[in-house]
Amino acid sequence: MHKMPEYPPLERVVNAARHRIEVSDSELAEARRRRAALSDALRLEFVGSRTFVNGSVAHGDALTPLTDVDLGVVVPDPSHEYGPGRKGPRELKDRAAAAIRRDLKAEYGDLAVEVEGRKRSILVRFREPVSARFPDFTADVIVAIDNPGAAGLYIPRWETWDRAHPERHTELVVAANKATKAGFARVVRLMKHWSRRHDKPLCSWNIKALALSCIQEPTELIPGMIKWLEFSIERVSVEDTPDPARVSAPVKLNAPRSEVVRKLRQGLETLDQAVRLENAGYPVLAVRELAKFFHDPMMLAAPDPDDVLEEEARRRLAQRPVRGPISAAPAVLTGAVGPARRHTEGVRSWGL
Amino acid sequence: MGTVARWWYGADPVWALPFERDAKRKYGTLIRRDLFERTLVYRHAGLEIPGRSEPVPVAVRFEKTPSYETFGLRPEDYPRVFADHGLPSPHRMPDGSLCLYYPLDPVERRWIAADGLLALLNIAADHIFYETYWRRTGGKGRGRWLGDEAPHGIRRRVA
Repeated sequence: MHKMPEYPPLERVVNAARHRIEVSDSELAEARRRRAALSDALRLEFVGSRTFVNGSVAHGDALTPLTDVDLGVVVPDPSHEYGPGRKGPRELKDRAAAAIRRDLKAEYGDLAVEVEGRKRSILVRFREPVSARFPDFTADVIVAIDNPGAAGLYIPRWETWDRAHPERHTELVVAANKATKAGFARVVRLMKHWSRRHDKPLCSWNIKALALSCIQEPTELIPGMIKWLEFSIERVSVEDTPDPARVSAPVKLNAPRSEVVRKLRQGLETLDQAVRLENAGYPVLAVRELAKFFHDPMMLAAPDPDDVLEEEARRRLAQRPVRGPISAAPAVLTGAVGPARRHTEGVRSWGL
Repeated sequence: MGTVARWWYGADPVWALPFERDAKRKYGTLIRRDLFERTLVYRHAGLEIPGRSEPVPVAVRFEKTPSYETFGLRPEDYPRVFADHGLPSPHRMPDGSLCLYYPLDPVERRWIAADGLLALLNIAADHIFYETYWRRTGGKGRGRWLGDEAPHGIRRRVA
C-alpha cells in the first residue's frame, strides 16, 4: 500500500509524550516567584508563623499549562485560641486575605482574593497567567494551626477545623521522588494526565497517595503505569485511599466506585494490549493503543490511519487460523445455549 | 416473514441484563439503550476501528417479531446491525445492515444472543474493519476481504 515509517519503541514514545505535558521551566519559575511573594506577605502578617508548600509544584509533578500553586501558613496559637471547640478559622483567613491584597496588589493590580464560600483555602486570582495557554493563574492558600495534641495540623473546613498533615504529605512525596530517581513524579504526571482526559475519576492527590503505596523503586514509565493501575484497581475496588500520613479521612473518589474501577480497568487493558502488540512485532498498533490510552492527540497523536490499517491487516493475516470446511451437519438453528459462551470467532460475513 | 416471538425478550430484564452486562462494563456510557413497544435498539457512540481516524457509531436493532427474514433463527439471535450507512461493502443486506454471519452456519460459527452484546459489537467491529480494508484496497472487483466469507445467498437444508 504505502511505505510505512519507522515507529520507535513504546517507552520512547511515552517519554516524548511526557515532555509535552511537563510544566516548563519558565512557568515553574514564575509560579515559585509568586508563591514566594505570598509566603512573604503571610509571614509578615503572622509573626512567628511558618509556611509550607504543597501540590503539584512542590511535588514535582506539575502539568502544563500550569494553572495554580499551593501554599500553607501555620499560624502560631500559643494561647490555644483557635481549634475545634474554640474559634474557627474565619478571622485568620480574613487576615491572610487582607495581607495578600495589601502586599501583592502593587505588583498584580488586578489581583482578587476570595474567602467567602471557600471550604478550606483562600483563593488568590492573579488575573495574570504564567502560561499563554491558560487565561489565569491562581493560588490556594491554607491558613492552618498546629494540632497540639496529635500529629499534623488543623486546617479550615468552612467555619471549623479538620485534621490534616500536608507537611508530611510533601515529605513523603519528596522522599518517593528521591527513592525512585524521579520515576514517581513521572508516573504520577502521566496518570494525572490520563485522569484529566477521562473526566477526572480521581483527584491528583488520590493518584499520588495510591502511587506512594506502589511506586517505591526506580521504574520505566510503562511498567510504572501498569503497576499503578493494577494496584489502584485492587485498592479502589474495595476502599477509599487511606491518607498516607494517617491523619485525615481517606481520599474520596470523584465518581461512583464502579465507574472509577471501570475506567481504571479499561486503562489497564489498553496499556497491556499496547505492550502485547509491541512484543508481538506490531509497533504501529502498539502506539495506537497508547494514543487511545491517553486520549489526547496534542500529547500523543495516533499513528497515520493508513499505517494502522496496513499493520492490522498484517496482524490478522498472520493470526488467521486455518479452518476446516464447515461441517455438513446443519446448523443448530434454535435451542438453548449455556451462559457465558465463547467469544464468537470464525464467523463468516455473508450477504443475500 | 419472521419467526413469531414467544415473548418480548427485549422488555424482559432476565434476558436483557445479562445480555448487556459485559458491554456496559466495557463501554459504560458510550452505550445507549432505547426500548420501544416492539423494538429494542442499542447504540454505541463509536467503536474504535483500526485504520479509521474517527470512531464509528453502531446501532443494533432487535425486533419482537422481525419484519425481515431470520432464516429460522430466533429473533434475538438475528438482530440488525447498522454502521457506516451508505458505504460500499460486499457484505450488506438490502436495508444496509451488516451481514455479520451466515445464519445456517453451525452455532459455534455465528453469534447468538447468549454470547452477549459485547461479542456482537466485537464481530461488528471486525466486520467494519474488513469493509474499511476492502474499500481501501480497491473496493468492488478488486478489494480484499480479510475475514472469513460465506457464499452469498441461502442454501436451504434438504430434508
